[in-house]
Amino acid sequence: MPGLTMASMTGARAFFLACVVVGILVAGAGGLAYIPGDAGAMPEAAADGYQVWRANGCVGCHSLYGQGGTFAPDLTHIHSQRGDDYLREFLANPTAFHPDARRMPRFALTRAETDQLLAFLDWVDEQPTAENWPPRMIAVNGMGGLTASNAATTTTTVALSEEDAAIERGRALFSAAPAACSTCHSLEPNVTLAGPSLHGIADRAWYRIPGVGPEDYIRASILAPSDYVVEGFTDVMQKNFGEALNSQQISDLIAFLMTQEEG
Amino acid sequence: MEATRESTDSGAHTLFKAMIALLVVYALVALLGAAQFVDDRTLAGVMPYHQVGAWAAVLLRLALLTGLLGGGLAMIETANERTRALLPWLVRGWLALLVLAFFAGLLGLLEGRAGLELPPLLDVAQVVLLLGFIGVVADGTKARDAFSLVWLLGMGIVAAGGLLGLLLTGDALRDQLYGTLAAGLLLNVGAVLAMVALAFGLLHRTGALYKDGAESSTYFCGGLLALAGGVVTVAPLNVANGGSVLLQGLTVIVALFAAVIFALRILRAANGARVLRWLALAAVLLFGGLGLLGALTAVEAVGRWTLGTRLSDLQTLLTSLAVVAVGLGAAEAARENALREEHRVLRRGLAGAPFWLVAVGVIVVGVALAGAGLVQVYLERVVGVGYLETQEYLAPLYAAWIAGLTAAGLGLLAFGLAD
Repeated sequence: MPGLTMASMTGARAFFLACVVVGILVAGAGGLAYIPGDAGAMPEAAADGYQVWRANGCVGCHSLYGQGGTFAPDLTHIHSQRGDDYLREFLANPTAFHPDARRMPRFALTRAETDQLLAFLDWVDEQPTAENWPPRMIAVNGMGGLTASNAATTTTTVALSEEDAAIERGRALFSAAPAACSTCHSLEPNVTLAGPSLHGIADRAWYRIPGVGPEDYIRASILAPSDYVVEGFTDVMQKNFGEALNSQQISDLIAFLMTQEEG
Repeated sequence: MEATRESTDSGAHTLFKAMIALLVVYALVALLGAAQFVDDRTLAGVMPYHQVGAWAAVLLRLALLTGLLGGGLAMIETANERTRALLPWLVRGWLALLVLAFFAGLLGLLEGRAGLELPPLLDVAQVVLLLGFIGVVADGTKARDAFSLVWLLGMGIVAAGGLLGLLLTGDALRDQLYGTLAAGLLLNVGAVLAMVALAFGLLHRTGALYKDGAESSTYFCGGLLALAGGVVTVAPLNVANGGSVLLQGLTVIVALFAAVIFALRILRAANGARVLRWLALAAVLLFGGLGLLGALTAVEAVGRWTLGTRLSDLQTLLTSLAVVAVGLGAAEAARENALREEHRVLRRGLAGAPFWLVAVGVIVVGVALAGAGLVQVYLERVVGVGYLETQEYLAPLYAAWIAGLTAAGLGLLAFGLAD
């Protein structure tokens, strides 16, 4: 195009400069729109925890609100998913967890640093961005949606009685979406994740709430978890299982949990 | 005049060699990181992933900046005494920065809000050196054609992004915000602008485009891509906060349009010459990174599912590799200019191998990581399989990633050895 006039080159230059200015303004204004106000300022313990987070390069592997490393799980909601006690144990000896999967190095944090880091993760979980993202819970593990054992369960239930089939379906649902109870509840005695261990729930449910039968208690705990919060735990369980699960799935889960006896 | 060209050509050649060396090291470090995605047991003892990942990211960023600086020096037409005196010091300073950054990564000293920043002193030195190079190129390209103007503006934005990256507030949300903006401005806007200037400058210098056509394309594509870079930069924040629908729409249109226009102009002009093949590769990579993935992940309905997966990593990686490809094209052009005709003929037979190794390697990397990202979204976010279990299903795709990285690394090594 040797015939381009000076005027058209000037126009091209003006177009270019206008685009650059608009591009930078959009990025700048778009970014400024998300600067948190003073109300969102970090409490001291969380701010200290953020320094621990940075000093140990946590963001090299983990992300918060989907931004950061992708070598390890996103930790936006890890505090409400696992709770203080579990995370404290995990941070003290991470290699003891997930023995067959990717392992986290041991950072040898002091007790104070661990407390600060937990305060930071708690704060992260409570920010407005955490309400918008992710669209559904991201589990670290324990969902087992495509594991061979679950697949086998699905096929073998054909030969079982209806009661046994319900228990098997409930067993699969316990560790797979959309229920995925195993993310927050252990079936082992004295192993506390975000929620109480459900080991022995079939026995405890009989006397947990006077006048309420065990199956009704479990059903209510799934559909309206705020009604019966176990002492020592906070009311953090998802409230949408009535929408996420159909009545058959809830009955299957109850059938499975009623097999979880003490001893 | 001849002394000036020798001085700037020598500086550019040194920087191009440094870029290639840095890319070979990057390929090795990235390989170590990729291998840990498959098996972190045996390799984690060598260096934990959070160090490997940060090291690889810094090496790639410095490599692409080094290529852009070399390309900028190659544009210099005249330089006064002061510039001739300053240039060798700037080049030495930049090489020293590269060496220090290498050791900072090796020793696990990289820090910052995204884990990708150099230690603060090196970050400051980087900005100062960038400004020095900008001054030298501004002084030596007084004709102010589109190539030098767009390169100068692009590198100015890169330096500004580096400065923004130095703002640490101690507040996690603010730091994440500034970090996202700094990294986005640096790569998506500044580096891409400088890349566009070098690409069309090369098309003109190799005779594939008349100067007027190359200049107008530089302005047109540069403008569109800067706009695209701006909106793509803010897109992750918008998606995570459930933000503006208008911004999402703007991003989709601008990012796709800009990347397609750039690719078409490059591919139409590229005539199969060895130098221009690198530009064609850059056009394809930029279309995948800033264009397709930039547009798709900016849509809230998509981005909410892809944020934090291998797909969001890939957007940045492909855009970075596009800039690197143009840097390699500039290095190839500088090398050809320095060779006498008989050597050129001798080299012609073998010279295609490094390009094809790199091209096939990065495309395999792109396809493998895109596949891994899609599977991750489906298993982890739709079906609800846990993160750790999902990673086990991705092992074959990570193996393809390793194969691609190996091929690209070998290609880069061959490219460097051919010099």
